[in-house]
Amino acid sequence: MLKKSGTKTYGVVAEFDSPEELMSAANKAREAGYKQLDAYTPFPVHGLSDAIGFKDEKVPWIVFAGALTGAAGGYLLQYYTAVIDYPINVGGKPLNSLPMFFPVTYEATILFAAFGAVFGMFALNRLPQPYHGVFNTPNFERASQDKFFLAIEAEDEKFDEVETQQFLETMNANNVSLVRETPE
Amino acid sequence: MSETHEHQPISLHRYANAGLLVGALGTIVTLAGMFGGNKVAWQAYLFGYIVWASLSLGCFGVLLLFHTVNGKWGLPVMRILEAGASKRNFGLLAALFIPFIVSIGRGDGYLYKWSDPAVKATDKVIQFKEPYLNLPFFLIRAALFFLLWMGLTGLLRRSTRKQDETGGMKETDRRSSWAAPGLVAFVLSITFAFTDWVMSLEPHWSSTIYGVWWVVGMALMAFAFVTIIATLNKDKAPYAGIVKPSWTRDMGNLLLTFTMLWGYTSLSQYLIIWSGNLGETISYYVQRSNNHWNAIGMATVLGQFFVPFFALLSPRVKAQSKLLAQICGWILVMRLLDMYYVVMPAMRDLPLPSFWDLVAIVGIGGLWTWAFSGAVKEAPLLPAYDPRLTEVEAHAH
Repeated sequence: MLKKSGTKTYGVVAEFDSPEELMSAANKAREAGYKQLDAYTPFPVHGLSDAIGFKDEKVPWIVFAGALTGAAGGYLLQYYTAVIDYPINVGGKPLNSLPMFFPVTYEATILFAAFGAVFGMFALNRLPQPYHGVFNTPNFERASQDKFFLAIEAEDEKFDEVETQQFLETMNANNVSLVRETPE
Repeated sequence: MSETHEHQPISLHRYANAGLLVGALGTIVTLAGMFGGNKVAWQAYLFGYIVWASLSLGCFGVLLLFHTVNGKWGLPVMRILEAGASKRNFGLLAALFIPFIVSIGRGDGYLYKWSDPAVKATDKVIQFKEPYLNLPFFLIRAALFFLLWMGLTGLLRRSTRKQDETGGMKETDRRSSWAAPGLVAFVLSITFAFTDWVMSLEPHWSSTIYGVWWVVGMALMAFAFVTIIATLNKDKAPYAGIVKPSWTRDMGNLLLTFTMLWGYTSLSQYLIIWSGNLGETISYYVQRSNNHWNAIGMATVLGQFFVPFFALLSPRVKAQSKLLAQICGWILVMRLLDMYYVVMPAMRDLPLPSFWDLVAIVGIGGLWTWAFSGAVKEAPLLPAYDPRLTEVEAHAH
């Protein structure tokens, strides 16, 4: 890739007015063979993650591991308190009363699954990230208001500063810009 | 998907005649057994009736849910839901309800012990409940349930048929404003109906989550029923191009949700009764622990909850219509087993199924299929002018 004025290139970013335009551009870019796509929208757009070819196979497994941890932890906590640490006869029921332990085990399962989802997502996205190259896109604050952005990142094998820009300019975008990792 | 070659059209009504034949035969044989004084045939008839009534009512509940929330997931199967909950099917169920009235009227106690004067004479609890559990009031309630269900389903069906002709979204909005209060009425009516028809088989026992448990179970059954039909016919018109991974994932998630709700309501009831350990409420689980009934109960815990729960967790499974169809088949079998576990121990001490069970369930099911087929044939399988259907297709690509 070209490196002008010594700064690394983040990619080429196109700005759209509507989610439909963004979706169609993302589909075309994926079909053209681009793989390192990202999109920024003010609200979740249904089907967009498929359109940019985003595949997440890690978070569900982290959630699952969290759920198993929660289930085991929730059950063992109750087993330890009710059977080992402070055994007490309640209504003649066995000390290790599985039905009675179910609600807390269940809640702990959900809690740790949710932890897995949130913190797993943070870790995989390398968040918190106070600085990101895409912030240098002109008008980018509108991504949280009313504009839809599609980025083709420089890491993409097919990426070429000139050709990729020309490619995105055919998509009815408001504005296509080459974005550097640091402001020029 | 492919615009070049024609898809073979799906024909859901091809079993209409076979259904009528098998149904009439099975039902007549069962009725002959019943009125010949065979108690087991009565039990089998009640069980078969409850199974098919659950499917119709489940379709109705899911239909009301769909019209309330207007999710795109419902459009491809709306007509199947409508047919399952058609006026024909409810009419059939109302007609098949008559033997219960006869049994209660005769006071033979074949099904409902509270109707037997000999039992009532010595049973203080039944005497106390008599102002509610008596034939006239039971009959009035049943009539009101059927009137409500037939009226509401007729209203919704007229509206979707009208929209087929006029198009536009006006009818969609109108249905939403009917379906939301309809859903409330539905849950209340199911609570009262299944308290009357099934819970009162054990007149000493009561549970407040019972109605919700039935609502969840029948909705799960209906979701599995419509999903299996759509996924097995995914290459046929009009489903080709509509039954796609994005849609099967939605249905898979709904199935997962209702599987979890089933687990939630089942466990809640068990947990409260188990920890309270009071003589009058534990009778339900005592009866269902004896004579190997507990093996069936444990099979439902594993088969109706854990197996589909883990199977439906994976998004990749839900994206494959063949796998999803298999899971739906499993869920339907488990619904049968679970209803057997809930209904039958109220009347039988041993879990062994009888020949009559098969005859009755196939007989009533045949008539149900015949009524269902008639309703399916009345309307195009996809709501023709619903503007959101094009969205479903676009969404599916």
